[in-house]
Amino acid sequence: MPEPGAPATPADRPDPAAPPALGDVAARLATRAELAKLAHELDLAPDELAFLADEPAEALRALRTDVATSLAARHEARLRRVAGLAGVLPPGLAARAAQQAGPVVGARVASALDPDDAVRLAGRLPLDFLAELTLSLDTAGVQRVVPGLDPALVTAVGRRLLDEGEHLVLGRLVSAVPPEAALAVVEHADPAALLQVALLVDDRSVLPGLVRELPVDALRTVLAACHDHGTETDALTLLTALDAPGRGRVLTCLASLPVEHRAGFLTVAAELGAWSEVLPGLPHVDDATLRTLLEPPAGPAALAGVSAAARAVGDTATVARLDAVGP
Amino acid sequence: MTQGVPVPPPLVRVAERLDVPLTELAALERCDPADLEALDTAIAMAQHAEDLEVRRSMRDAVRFVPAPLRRRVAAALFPADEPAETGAGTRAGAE
Repeated sequence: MPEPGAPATPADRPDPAAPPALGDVAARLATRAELAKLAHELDLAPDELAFLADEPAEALRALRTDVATSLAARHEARLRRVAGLAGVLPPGLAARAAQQAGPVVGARVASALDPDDAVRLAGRLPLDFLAELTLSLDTAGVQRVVPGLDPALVTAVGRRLLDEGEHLVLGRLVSAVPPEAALAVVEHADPAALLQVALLVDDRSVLPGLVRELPVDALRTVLAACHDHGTETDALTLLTALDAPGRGRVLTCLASLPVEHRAGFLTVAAELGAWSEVLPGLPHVDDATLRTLLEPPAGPAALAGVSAAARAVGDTATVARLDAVGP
Repeated sequence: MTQGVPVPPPLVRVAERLDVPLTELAALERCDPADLEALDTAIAMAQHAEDLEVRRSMRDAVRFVPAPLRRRVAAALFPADEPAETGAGTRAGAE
């Protein structure tokens, strides 16, 4: 990086007036999500960690994992003994003892329990307590315990967390359950909340499955809400986590929105230079949809951008298709 | 400050507190020392809160155990040689 005040040239520095590229925005968003998770781990407000806002998300994720590991390790031996005792108690008695111990220690013990014992115990605990316990369950605990739980119970806990605005914990939860269970949790969610959960998922590899299964109406509502709240950039960064069919699905939903919504997204995509991220979705979009997307006012610029992106990677078939379909 | 007992830089203390090699935190080297000091304090407080919560919860849970078994369960959960029960060994607790 040049020193502050050093003369910038096109060769060594991007135009400072130019908007950031999609990759930079996605990286900043990933850092923001990791900061929120680290703050949650340390019981701080995210702005108390603002000095870490320029760190890469991977470094913050590693730090968060180290913090979680250090907290779990402090009483590991003792909690394993408790888990051993809980495993031999009748489930009803163990459930009463867990409630007596409270949700934080309940979460630590659940992580140490044999997964089958944890599942048996969870079935005896009241929903409110389980939801509270889930707030303190670390990623490893979620991955060990949650997949074995009754999907109806996971859905009920997830909806309770959704009602309480616990998007960060939900992001952890939906990463550990099959897409159908995750969708059952979020099917009635407010679209803005749904976007937040997607931005905060622990494992972005679950997003293609979620977008594939999400009803078209729900996806359309999320896109419309992004336009209404000016969060098109957040939605576009999520596009980078999707597979080609998922990107096509998003583009198809976008084409079905009113023209001003489409224009809003395409303008932001042009500002971010996001056309290379849009390109993989085009083979999964039919010609009528593509024609709608390329309509004025924002369509011509999108056509130029996507054509250039296709030419840059030697995708002659897409270039020819755009020439044929475009205005 | 006691003369002759240098305080390690904050990043070294963070690494010690998390029990990880300093190299694992290399990305944080460019942070301001005052910010790293705050991070170290935040981690210390989180560890202290964890210790307090676990000890409180264990005591509450032991009270729930039927009287004839209580001493045995308490002995299993709080062995006399475990420092966390007395608060010693909880570095954050001393700060």
